[in-house]
Parts: sequence; structure tokens; C-alpha cells
Amino acid sequence: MARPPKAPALPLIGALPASVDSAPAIMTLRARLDRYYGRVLGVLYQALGDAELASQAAEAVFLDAAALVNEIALWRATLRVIKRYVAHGLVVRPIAALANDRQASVSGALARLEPIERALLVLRYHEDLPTDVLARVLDCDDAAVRARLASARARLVDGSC
Amino acid sequence: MLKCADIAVMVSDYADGVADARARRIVEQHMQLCAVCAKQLDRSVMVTHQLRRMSLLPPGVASRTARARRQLEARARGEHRRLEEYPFYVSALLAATLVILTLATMLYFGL
Repeated sequence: MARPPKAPALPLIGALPASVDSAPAIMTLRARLDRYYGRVLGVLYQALGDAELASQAAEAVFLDAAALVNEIALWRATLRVIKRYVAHGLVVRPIAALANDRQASVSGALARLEPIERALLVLRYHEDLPTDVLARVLDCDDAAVRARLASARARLVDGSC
Repeated sequence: MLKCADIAVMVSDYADGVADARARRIVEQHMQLCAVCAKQLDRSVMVTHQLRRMSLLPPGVASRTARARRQLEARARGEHRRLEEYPFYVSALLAATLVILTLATMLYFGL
């Protein structure tokens, strides 16, 4: 979860009071970019499969003022953008490494999943978001998130053998 | 004996180390009886481990990230600067209006 931020040098554009998380959440845009840009870009690349799409999507995420309130809002905005791109059919499979090792087989199997499944697995296991936080990001209950993750991971395991 | 599909979520939680005591007991009992699930559990742990370690961005994309980030920040700051200057313009306009009204009043009353 996001740590309480330091005193901002500049207020955020359209900064809103924290409504989702109890911790104070207003950070400077620069601090937010420093902490999250690479991570959001990584999630978007794995979901959308293309670097240019991921950059455009990252721009849409960080220029959305509501997404900068706290970490949950940020990941929620990220998933929203992914769903929008999926709805428009703008998704390809990410390029997996060609090496013959476990890492390559896992990244190849991940590339064959659906975009939202890829994003969920990356958020859970690469970004280490707990399932209760993911449930708040997805606006559903913890049991539903765990069921989706179990299903996606089973497909990942089957695809990586 | 519980079917493999019935305890899929419990197995997933067990692999993540977040299963409660009851779920752990059920999974461990099932693993002793079902070699397929036991193997699947091992592979699940391995896959999760690889997922945690993998680089999300290919090398070519990672090197361009810093520039894209700077462009995004510059663009956002441009919008913010316009919003920051807005109160100044409003204050200047109000001050000018006040001066004009004062001068007009003075002229009207022949001061």
C-alpha cells in the first residue's frame, strides 16, 4: 500500500481529497511518476502487448486527475484504460523471450492469456498487491478476485509446461 | 474426497501462503491422495516465482521509458502552469475593473 506522502512542492492538477484510502494521498505529479510510471507502463505493456499502445495508455492514466488520488485509484484507472483498449480491439500479444528457459516459457504462457487476466496476474504477483486491495481495485469481493486469480494462474501453469 | 476443481481456490491460496488453517489441512490431505494436484501445486509455485522475477518491459522499451516519462511530466506541468496563472489573471482583471470604475466615478462627479 502507498506510504503517506511527503509535503508536495506543487499541488496536483485537480487534486481531490483521499476518499478511498484513509492515508493522506496527495503527492506531486513528479513523485507519482517516479514511483509508479515504470510499473504502470510494465503492466500496460503486458496487458496490451505493444510498447506504443502502452505509452499512450500510460499517458491517459497519469493525465487522469482522479487516478492520482491514491494507489488504488491509479490501478483502477489502469485497468479501466486496458478495458477500453480491449473494447476497441487494440490489443496484441506481448513479445515473449525466445530463450529456452523457465522464464521464457512463463512469459510466453502469460502472453497467450487474455489481457485482463495478464494484468491481474501481474498486479497480484509482480506488483504484490494483496487480494483485498485487488478487490477494491476491481470493485468486487475478495472471494471473486481469488477465484479469478486461481483460474488465470491455472491457465498460466498449463500453458507454461 | 473433494474433487480437484472444488479446491482450486484453496490450492491457489496455499501456493501463495495465505490459506487459513482449515484450507491448509484440506489441501495437504488432498495432495497426499492426488499426484496430479501435487505436481500442479509445485508448478504453480514455480510459475509464480518466475512471474515475480520477470522483467515486464523488453530492453528496447525500458530504455525509452525515461524519455516518455519526461514528456508526460512536461505536458502535465504545462497544463498545471496554465491553471496556476489563472488566479493572477483574475486578480489583475478585478484590479483593472476597480481602477476604471474609480476613475469613471471621479470623472462623473467632476473630481
